[in-house]
Amino acid sequence: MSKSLILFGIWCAFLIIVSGVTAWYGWAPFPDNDRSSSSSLYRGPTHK
Amino acid sequence: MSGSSGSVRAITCPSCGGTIEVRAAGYTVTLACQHCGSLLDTTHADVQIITAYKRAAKNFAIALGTRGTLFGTEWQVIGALKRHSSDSGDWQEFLLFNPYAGYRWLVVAEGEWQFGTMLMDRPEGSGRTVSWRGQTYTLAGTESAETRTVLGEFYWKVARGDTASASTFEGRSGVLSHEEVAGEVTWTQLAPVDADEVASAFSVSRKFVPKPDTPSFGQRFMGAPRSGSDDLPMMFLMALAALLAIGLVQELLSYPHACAKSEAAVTVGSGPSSTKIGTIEAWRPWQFVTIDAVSSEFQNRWVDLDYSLVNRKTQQSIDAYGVVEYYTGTDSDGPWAEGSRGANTLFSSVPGGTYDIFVETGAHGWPNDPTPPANGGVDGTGTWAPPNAADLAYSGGDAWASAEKITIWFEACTGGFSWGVFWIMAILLFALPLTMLWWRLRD
Repeated sequence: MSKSLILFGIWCAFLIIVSGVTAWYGWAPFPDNDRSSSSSLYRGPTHK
Repeated sequence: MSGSSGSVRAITCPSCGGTIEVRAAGYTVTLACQHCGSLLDTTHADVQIITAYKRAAKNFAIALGTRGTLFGTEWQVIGALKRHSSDSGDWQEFLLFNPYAGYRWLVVAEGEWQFGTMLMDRPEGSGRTVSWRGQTYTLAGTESAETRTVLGEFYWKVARGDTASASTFEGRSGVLSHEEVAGEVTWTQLAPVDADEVASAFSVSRKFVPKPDTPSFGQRFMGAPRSGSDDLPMMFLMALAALLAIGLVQELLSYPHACAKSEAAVTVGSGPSSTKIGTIEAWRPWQFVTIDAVSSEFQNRWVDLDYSLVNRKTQQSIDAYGVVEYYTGTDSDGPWAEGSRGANTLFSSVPGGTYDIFVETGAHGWPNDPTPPANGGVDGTGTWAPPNAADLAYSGGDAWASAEKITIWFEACTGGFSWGVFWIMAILLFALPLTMLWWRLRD
């Protein structure tokens, strides 16, 4: 196995571990509990 | 067998004409003539020429004047060239001489040696294919070769800076080299020679043998065409396997699932109303909580869903917002539709504990709310119905005649799948192999 493949494999393993950590802590980048309240949002179709 | 170096070590004294030997050219500051005692400055032209020769003679794989036996014939190296092209890089050519056999060539490039014999009979044909002595040779490439260093004796006029058009023709039995300078054409047959055989015959200085270009680490990683390795398909497979593993990890760590269900009937245009969806037990220290909402049929309406997870122990509330909305219309392109009658709301990093889940609903019409009925009313029965029960008849036919109601079924569960994390990981996994693919294809 070449050095580049080994390095890429380490990178893949690192990302798997990071995703496991985020899943363990229930973390998401854009959760709905961060969204602003309904009163400030436009509602209606965007179709012109 | 190899002979001693035949470097020039003698100059003529300008005073008496005697021969002076220079043993340390390049280091000697003052030179004394042993015949007349004259002292020569090293700025003397002849001394400078010797110094320049020593400098030029360095870094050749075979020293000028070396003798060696190849293919049963003893040769002496009488000339040496350093040449360069942008495609092939640097190489060295050594002119060999035997008084009975004549001239031959030794060419070394990228660590490989070739023995060259000038053709006396010109190959037939032109363009991409030529034939010589019954063999066919095909053009492999043409480049401009520049002579950078000239040393020793040659049977034609050659100087530093000369450029020639050099073509290589490959065939089953060997290689033919075609060079053209100022209309004069030379054909040479090149046959590979084992490097060890040349080294033992001519005392080759291996450190001065032109080596193949070593790709930089970046070139090797990006898969330069000459590197010979192709890790790219394996990298794509590894990225795909890692992405599947990430999806599996996310799914497995979302367990256990504890759920609560409820439904609410919301009057369009009336004020917000609150409904308790149920109570869930969050067992893990931290987890997602997902609330799915599916509504009955409606058009040109939206329903605000303000959720609250209230921790029974701490009374702290985690709030989130969702919406179900659906719009239709017609324009010059025909009918259109927009929105969804279902909504998935994700709470992240919810601490463990027991949670009461509430939702505040508010249904509105677009572009305007219908007039609310006098008796208002949200009927939250708390009875669950399957999602396909949303195919109830649209009850809002004449919004001005009766209270229009939208029924929403809720299901709240611990656990969830973060598509945001999944797609971020997908980008991080495939960015490098895709960049490598683009890098190769751009050429």
